Amino acid sequence: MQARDPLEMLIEELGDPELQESLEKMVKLVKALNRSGLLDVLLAMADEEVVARLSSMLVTTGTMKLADNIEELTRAAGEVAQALSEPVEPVPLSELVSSLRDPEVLRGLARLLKVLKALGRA
Amino acid sequence: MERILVLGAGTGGLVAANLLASHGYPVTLIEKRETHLFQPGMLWIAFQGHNPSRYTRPVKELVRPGVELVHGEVAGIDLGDRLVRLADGRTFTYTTLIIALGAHLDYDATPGHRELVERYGDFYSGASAAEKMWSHLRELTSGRLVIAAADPLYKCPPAPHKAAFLAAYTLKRMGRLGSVEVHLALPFLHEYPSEVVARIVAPKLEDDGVRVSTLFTVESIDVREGKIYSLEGEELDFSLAAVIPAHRGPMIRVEPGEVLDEDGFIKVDKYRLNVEGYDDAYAIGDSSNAPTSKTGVTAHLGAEVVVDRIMGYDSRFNGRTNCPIVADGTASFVISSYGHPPVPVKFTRFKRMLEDLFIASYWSSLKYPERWAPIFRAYFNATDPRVISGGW
Repeated sequence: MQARDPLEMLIEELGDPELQESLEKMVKLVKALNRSGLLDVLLAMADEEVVARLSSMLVTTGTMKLADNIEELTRAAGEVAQALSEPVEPVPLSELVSSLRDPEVLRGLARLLKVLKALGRA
Repeated sequence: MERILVLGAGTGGLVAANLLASHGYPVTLIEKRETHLFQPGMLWIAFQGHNPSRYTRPVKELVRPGVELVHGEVAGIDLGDRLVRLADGRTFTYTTLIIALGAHLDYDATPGHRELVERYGDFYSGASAAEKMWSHLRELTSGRLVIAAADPLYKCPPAPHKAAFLAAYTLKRMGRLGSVEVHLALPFLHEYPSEVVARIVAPKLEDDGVRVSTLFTVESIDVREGKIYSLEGEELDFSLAAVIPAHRGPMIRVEPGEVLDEDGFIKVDKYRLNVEGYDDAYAIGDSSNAPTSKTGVTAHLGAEVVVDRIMGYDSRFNGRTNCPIVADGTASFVISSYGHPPVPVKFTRFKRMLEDLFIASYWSSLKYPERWAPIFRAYFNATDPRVISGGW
């Protein structure tokens, strides 16, 4: 089988209405990006040294661990946000001591201690 | 005149050749196949029915201008005369040689193995064998699917685990997990060679409904009776089975023969990756005897080290691995390096997304490795086993 001429294949492709529509949208997008100045930013950023600096800043042990635990973090943050929206009264000292019998409070305290330890380590 | 010869257009060979070309070196790349296969893709073809076209590309499309691509099969290397001989009689001389010929899969080492692969396919010997495996898996309504290995040394140590996870997931979706048992038979003491990894993988396998046998090294296969026998004296019945073959060094004649170990792998300095006793020849990836996992990541990183050394930098290979263990919706990685055993890495959705991103970047990272190098370097530094020794 003889290999087809790439130019011939391209001309044939250009007859496809779906491709024509896609190309029109692509041209609009590129023009809009250019007008907004974003293309210039992207061009400047597509530089090996910029990519290297950006990667070493964004891809760190910390961000990898953070992203890995994002579900746990957002779940905890959601619970905290909910608790913050509920009305509270000042707690007298006697109630504070009795609330330490609540297993959820105890678990929270244990977590807090772990967080403090991690902060100390960092 | 300088001429760098790269043998093999797998991951290591393509990265090395394209990197050298990007730095202006004259490179000749010799490859016997027309098509490059992203080898982990075979798992998705065999156990999830993916289309092979997602995982294959013509070699010529993966080679940068500046790389001279020669289609031919390497038959022999004479390190003393700096000469490479092809099966069709052509010869090539070099000033520097990079051997990236991969490992040879020895289907004849285990009685009944060739017959098993011819009948059911597998997820190691190629895309069409993987398609054959899929055609049998989709018809399997009861019985036992066995995933096993004929030798503890094979490419991608978590491959059988991935196969079991993906197969169990597929069968579960089909409502057949239970009437079909997914059985992982491993030639190790635990569920993974490293006990640290085994402790993470074992509960996941159990949760996903995969049965496991340890200390089961396949010795022979009776396809007609549907039985696999182990070196340790056990046997397993199967309705469908995929056995990872024993791996050997590339099937070529190398002079002097002393540079090959007893399994035919090329002996290298594990840090500099030069062939033992030669400073103008290197071996990377699966073809070398470097004491690390045989995976695409190690081949890629090894290629970068060799190109650095050719350019005059004192770059060292650290044996880093990053083997993904892909399960249903989550993944873990086997992260280790020379002198640092695997660290505990839990299964998460983020790691599965990272693996998806690695796969998505695969073709581009072969052709434009220098563009990806800073990003990969940042990732490998961030997840250096010494830094995350406590776990990730």
